[in-house]
Amino acid sequence: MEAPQVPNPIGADAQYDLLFRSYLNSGEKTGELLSQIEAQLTEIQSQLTRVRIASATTSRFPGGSIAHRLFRRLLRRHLGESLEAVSRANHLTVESIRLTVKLWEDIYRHEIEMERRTRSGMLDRLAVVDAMQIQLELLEEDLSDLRSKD
Amino acid sequence: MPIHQVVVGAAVGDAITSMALNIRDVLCVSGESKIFAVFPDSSVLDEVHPIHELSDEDDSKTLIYHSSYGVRELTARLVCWKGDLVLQYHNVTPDHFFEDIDSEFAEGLRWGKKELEVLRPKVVKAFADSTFNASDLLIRGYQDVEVLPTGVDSQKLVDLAPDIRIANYYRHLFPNGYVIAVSQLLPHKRMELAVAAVHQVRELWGIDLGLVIVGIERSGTYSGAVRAYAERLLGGGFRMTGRLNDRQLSTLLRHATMYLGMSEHEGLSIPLIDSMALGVPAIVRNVGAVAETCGDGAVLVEHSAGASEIAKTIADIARDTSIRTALIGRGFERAKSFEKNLILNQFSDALSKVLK
Repeated sequence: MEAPQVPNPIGADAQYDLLFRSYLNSGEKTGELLSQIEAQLTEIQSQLTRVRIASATTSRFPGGSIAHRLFRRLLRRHLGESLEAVSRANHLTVESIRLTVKLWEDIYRHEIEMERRTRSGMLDRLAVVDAMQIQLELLEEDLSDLRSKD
Repeated sequence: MPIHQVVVGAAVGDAITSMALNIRDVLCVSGESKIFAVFPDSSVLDEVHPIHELSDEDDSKTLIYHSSYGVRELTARLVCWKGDLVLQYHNVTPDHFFEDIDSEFAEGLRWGKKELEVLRPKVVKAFADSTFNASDLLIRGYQDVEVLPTGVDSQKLVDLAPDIRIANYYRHLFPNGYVIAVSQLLPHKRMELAVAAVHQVRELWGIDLGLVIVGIERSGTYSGAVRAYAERLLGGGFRMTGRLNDRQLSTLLRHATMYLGMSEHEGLSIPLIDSMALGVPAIVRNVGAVAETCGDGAVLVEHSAGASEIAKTIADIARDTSIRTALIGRGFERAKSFEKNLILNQFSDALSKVLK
């Protein structure tokens, strides 16, 4: 039979290539993304540290330095606590991203394993069906032998 | 005279291991013969010995070294070997294919090529699987390289009884047939081309063929991408089986509509030989030793061919019974030239001449 002439779709090969590259790159991006996030969080932390250092000012107003020292101490304590909280939050965020990635990987592995087990289970069932089919054929043969003897 | 063999890696279903086992069966006739491996898989430990069991007392004996990858410690041992050294070259994959995914492995490949030069003064006889592989040795100063795919057995899968369970399962899964691609899952094997081509065969040419990818997944990144890509393009129309034993592979090949070989680099394609021997029409890219392996027993597409051209070739063959029949006949004939005993006899003759 003559095959119908269908022209090759223009640009299809390049599109296929692009699509595959997007899948290939996505696997490599996870680590890169994590280090980018870590770098950004470190940057935030260092900016907060700079704010704390900048708050160490002296007062030009008479009698103002005691109030300012008090204010500065309060501000420092407040910023220190905030900084610690941000630092803890940073750590938790990075950890939770790590755990999420690990969870994704575990789910993916689990799915693969489940698929493998399902496939192997199906093969086993098909084998049972095969065996039953053979048994059925044998029984039918026996039955027809018995009938012919009767 | 005892002759031992050394391979780098050994596993069930591995082509070089199978070849070494076939050679051993011949060598055993004239004396003790063992196979040693640097990285033996637990599945072959009853047949293959770890390299540390190769004792210094043996070092006056002849050693056949199957070269495919470089391990510096092994090279050092081979250089110091007092007995005759015979080289069976199976090709070392160019390292640039692995540079981005496994730089350590790429380093081993680079050393594998370098090792050929280091060992050259020691080698009393060199064999290569193909003319393509022989050219690798010739440019490294080897002379009198004999082209012989020693240990290849085109009938290996032919005599195996099919696994009915697998046959039924795939018949049920792909009632209109499937295209099969057999290879380790590595970037240079270009499995994504097979996925894209089958997608186009289904969507553009309206032929409902499935795709079965058989082979060990050596790179998680690459095989993950191929799986996701195939899920997107083919949905349930594909399966990735992982490594199979000979009987399972024989069953899947025998029932396939077509074999696809999309690799960027081949020193000698054993799955192609198996397909031809089993009467499966094959479409392969013209790279490395593929053309000399298949002769006129398969359809060659140009190395530059994209998914669209490959899809059209698949569609042409799937629709035209006369092309398919002719291909099957030519494939059978071509596979006969890889008859195990014929090649092993030539190997024994060549070996006895140099080891007199």
